[in-house]
Amino acid sequence: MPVDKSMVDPSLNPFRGMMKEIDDKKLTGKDVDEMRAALTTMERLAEEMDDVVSYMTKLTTENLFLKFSNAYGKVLSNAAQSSAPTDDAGMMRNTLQQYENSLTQLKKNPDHAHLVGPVQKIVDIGKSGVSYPVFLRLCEEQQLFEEMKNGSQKPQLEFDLHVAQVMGDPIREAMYKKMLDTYNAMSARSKIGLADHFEFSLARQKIEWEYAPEIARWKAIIDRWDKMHDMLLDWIDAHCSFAPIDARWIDPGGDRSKTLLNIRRTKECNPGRLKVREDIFREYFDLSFDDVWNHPTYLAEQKASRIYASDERIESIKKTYPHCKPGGSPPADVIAKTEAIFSAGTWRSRRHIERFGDAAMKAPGYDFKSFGDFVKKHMATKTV
Amino acid sequence: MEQRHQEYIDYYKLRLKKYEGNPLYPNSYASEKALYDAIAGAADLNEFKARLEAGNLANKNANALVKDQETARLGHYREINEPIRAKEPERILEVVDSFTQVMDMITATNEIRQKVSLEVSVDGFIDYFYSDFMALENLEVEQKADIPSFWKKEAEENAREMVEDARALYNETTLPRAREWDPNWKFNHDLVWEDRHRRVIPVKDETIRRRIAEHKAYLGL
Repeated sequence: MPVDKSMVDPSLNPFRGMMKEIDDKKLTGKDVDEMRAALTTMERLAEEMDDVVSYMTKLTTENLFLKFSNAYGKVLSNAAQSSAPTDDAGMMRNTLQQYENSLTQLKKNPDHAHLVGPVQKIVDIGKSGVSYPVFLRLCEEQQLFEEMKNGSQKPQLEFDLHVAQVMGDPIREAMYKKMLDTYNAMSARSKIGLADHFEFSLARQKIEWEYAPEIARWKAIIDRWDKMHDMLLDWIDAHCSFAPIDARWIDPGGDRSKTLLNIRRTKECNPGRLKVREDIFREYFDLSFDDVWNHPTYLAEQKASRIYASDERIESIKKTYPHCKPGGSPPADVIAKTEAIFSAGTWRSRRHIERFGDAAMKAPGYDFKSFGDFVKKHMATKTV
Repeated sequence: MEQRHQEYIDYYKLRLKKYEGNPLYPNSYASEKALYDAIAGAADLNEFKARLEAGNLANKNANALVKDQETARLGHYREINEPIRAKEPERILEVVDSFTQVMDMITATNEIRQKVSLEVSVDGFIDYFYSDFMALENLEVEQKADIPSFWKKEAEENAREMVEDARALYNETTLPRAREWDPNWKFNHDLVWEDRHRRVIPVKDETIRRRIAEHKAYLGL
């Protein structure tokens, strides 16, 4: 059975489109043959294979996308060379036409608004009646080509920083802040007032590299304490009167004795399991169960309203932890409090509901500004 | 001198200035200087055109930019200890001077980039090791937890099933998928100690050594 057409078409349609474009222009030759051979192989493999992941891997490892693109590039380049005017007036006309076409496309997308300015200026210079070399010189002098290459860097960095801030992700926030500071410093010391696009791309990679270990550590710590907290909450809840009607323990086949066994398992096994998780947590991060409450990861999750359990539930965890030993039980007042919490339906943090909503309430979640907003800000403040 | 000739001289002079004194672009500066010298020293634009073609200056200019950028990229990858990624600039720098046509150079560099990109992807398969940490921890919980004897058999059975499921997933999905990328691929835990992988596993060396042994047993390697 062929690979699902709905998966193949989005990948192959751009290549089919390029092939059609070349055929419509009636271009021929060795490079056109190479394009067609690559596309034919892609189409044949889609018929012969049945798994979309294997299919996409095959296209990549057989270099079919690249073979097609390389040949396509050569076809276009050869066609442009053979039809390109060699006189200044012709080159000016062609160049201007290409920038006018780009301008029309850019104006359709608000996310590209920052590119409209430099391209509009290029078009204006082109239409001013200057010669081709004067046009090129003026565009260079006014850094319009650099602005086109670099235009999206600053709004993109500001947008990334904003996303990290809204997410309450302090490590990424520091990372994007450093990128932005680096970009600004590079721009400030540049003769043209704009960071070199290539040089900054390396600096950006280096900063990502610097922060990668801390990002990994941060996530690993959260994943582990989150698991321990769930274990403890389950242990408390298993001792409550609502446990037999709680989905965590109800036997899917409706067998009450199995449900009770499930509850018993949590009651009797979670203390021993928690101890192993605590040992792992200490071994990995030199942190104890109680260290979590003042740890930057926990404080950041709390600040971002990502702690699901209500404050009362968190207090129950803290109070119960010393009792969570093999053979032990949660304190009676914690069990009573937990039953009251479930009766009142207040097990979930109010801040979590206010941010992420529930069945009854829509909430903002992560309320990101659009990238376009940063483009607008960039255009309003840039001095270049 | 014709006005148009002077206009081109002004343009090439400005291009030259762009790279002047920038340590990132020594080859581009030299190549732009060759272009500037060619036009500034030519009697007219026809002579410039002849010099341009005779010296293949336009193509050399494209090669120079690639050389500058790949030299910087090579230094960058060496600095951050990324030997696989560094193969891309290394290989491009080995061949870039051999091209006299820009399109041939672009085709060859694209092929090198694609080939190294595949190597980077295959090298990244070692991430399966750290991805399995939580599963190894869950297994450890089943195996080590101090639980009443009533539950021991069930815990052993759980652990056995976890291993069985993991091996099935590995042998039926992970391994065949990886071999679609590299027919000779096999799990090489030694790669974990390579800086590029080691630095993003946020635990101590002794823990990693223990987890490697457990991971091999877990997957039956």
